[in-house]
Amino acid sequence: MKTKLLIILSAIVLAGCAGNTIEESNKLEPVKIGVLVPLSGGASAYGEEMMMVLNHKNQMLETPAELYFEDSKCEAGAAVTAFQKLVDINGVDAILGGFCSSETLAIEPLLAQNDIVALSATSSSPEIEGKSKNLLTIGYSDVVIADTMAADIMDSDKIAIITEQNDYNVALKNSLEERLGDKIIANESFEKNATDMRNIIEKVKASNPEVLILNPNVGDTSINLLNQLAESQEFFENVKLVSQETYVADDSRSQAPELAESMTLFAAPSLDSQEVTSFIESLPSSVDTLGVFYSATASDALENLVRSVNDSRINQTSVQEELFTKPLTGLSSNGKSFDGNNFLQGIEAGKYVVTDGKAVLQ
Amino acid sequence: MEFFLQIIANSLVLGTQVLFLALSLYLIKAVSKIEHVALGAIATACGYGFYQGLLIGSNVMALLFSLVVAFTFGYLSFLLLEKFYKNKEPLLGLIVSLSMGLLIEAMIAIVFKSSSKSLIEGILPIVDVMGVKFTLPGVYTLAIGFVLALAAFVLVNKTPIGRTLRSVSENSSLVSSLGINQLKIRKSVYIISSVIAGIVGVLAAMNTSLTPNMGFNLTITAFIALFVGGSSDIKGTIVASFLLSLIPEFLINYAPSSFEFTNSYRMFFVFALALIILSFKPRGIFSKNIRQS
Repeated sequence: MKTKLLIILSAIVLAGCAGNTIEESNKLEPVKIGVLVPLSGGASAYGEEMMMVLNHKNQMLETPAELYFEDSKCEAGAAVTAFQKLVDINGVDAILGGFCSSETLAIEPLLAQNDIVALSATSSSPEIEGKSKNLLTIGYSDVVIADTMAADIMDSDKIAIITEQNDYNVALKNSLEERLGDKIIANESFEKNATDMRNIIEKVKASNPEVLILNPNVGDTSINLLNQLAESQEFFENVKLVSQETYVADDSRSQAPELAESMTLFAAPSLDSQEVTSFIESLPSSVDTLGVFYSATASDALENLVRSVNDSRINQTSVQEELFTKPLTGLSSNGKSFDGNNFLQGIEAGKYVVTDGKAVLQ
Repeated sequence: MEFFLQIIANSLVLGTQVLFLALSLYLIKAVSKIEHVALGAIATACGYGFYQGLLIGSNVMALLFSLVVAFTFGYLSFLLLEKFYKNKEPLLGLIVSLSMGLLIEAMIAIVFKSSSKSLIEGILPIVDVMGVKFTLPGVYTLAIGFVLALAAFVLVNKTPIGRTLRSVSENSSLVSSLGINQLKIRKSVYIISSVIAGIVGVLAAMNTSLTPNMGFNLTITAFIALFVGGSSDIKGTIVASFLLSLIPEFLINYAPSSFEFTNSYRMFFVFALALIILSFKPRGIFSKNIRQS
């Protein structure tokens, strides 16, 4: 009897020790986060600023994570290659990204195969909703933008759209088509990274619209499009110009300031809490291109990913379970949750009007 | 009507850009039988040379830089491709030229990064001709292109220089026996062709923006124009350059909206046109049927 009791006690002590050892070793082992950001190509300015924000935020964490940055170029193919490297070679615990929706949608089929979670801070294509539970985004859905934009221009019966052909912009265009229907009298698109949009602009002019929705992706294409529209300044100054996130950054409009004046933009909400302001001010350089909202979501994505990976180790749960079941923390996501969706719930669009060269929240 | 004329005007500028490269390809093909497809990348490199010159100094410096780039790559092309002409291996020459083009583009992307650069900041100056608007670089493109096409046509068809150019590749031993330095001719043609490509590189970049792979689509269209026009017929090359630019634009802009043809269809139409024309006229649009015995 004594021997049995001794064996049971020893087993309990050993199990306890082993448990402590696992817990301690897990706590000691830093979380590895793979980050997909565009570090080359037209959207590289966004990626570089996001990299700076994440490195800064990482140093603020109680236990900094190991960050592995890979250039996803805002392209599906490059994102898949970068993802494979992060998973197979770097052995990361979770992915922060993709940055562009095309990247995020491209890596989605690989997430379940590799049993890994991706949390995007910026992707907004509505196609993300309903995808694998391994894919989450704390940016807002373009459905939110489409709803707000459509409500604002619904009074007009002559609406034209110019769209760049990539996942993010096409998804927004589709959402707008559903809402605006026959009010759209010209619906033009151009291939990704096109440089000459003049014939498309002529086609739009021939339709004589009252409202023109500009729907290019971030980067050089959006600057080219606005410059080429400005070549017909006398025509377009009588047309209401409407756009999305792309033209919120002041740099994107700086070459055609007269045309861009009074442009209406529907994008991420403005964050002006003291906490957000302090964080932005503490950054080593400005985030003029990425903007305050996405700097905050990038910071939140890292904070919540690291916490979820750590909690999943302690609680012996999965990372997605941690993300799905607990409210998030951070600057823009604080107290919000996914509620079983792929998009974080409770984010509303902001309406901006370009005034004196600045995008001013209404 | 204004819309129609504006589409023609814009397409003519695009067609002239293709023409520059097609003429460069034609000249090199005439003296060495090699399709030097790296000319598109050389055009891009000259554009970047101009950009670098602008960063360092003035317009004169920019012009000088782009000329140096054109001369260097022209001479380098000659050194690389000459032996394939001598060995009568034009296909290998094409592959080497393609590799050279890809290498130049990769080098540009590494040095200058892949984001686009503007040679003219802000909105381009506009020239209004009876309601039809041209950008200033577009006007330069059309004017230089017209002079170049005319000069090339007269030079090749109406002067002894043209006959010499053609005979260099057709009967090199006879040309040598006449005391003509064919090596010097080929070297000059490579350099002149690179300069012509360089001009379009700078003008196209001024009209839109500069990216490492901007020469690629132009080269593809110019390459097809060379064959659609008939690779030994300069008149055909000139006409094909414009046809392959104008017809796709009209199909995109005038097809019923139910077809939903977008700009992405441009290359599809270029290839479809080439396929149709070459099926009926394999030796080029102006070729005559030859009775075979």
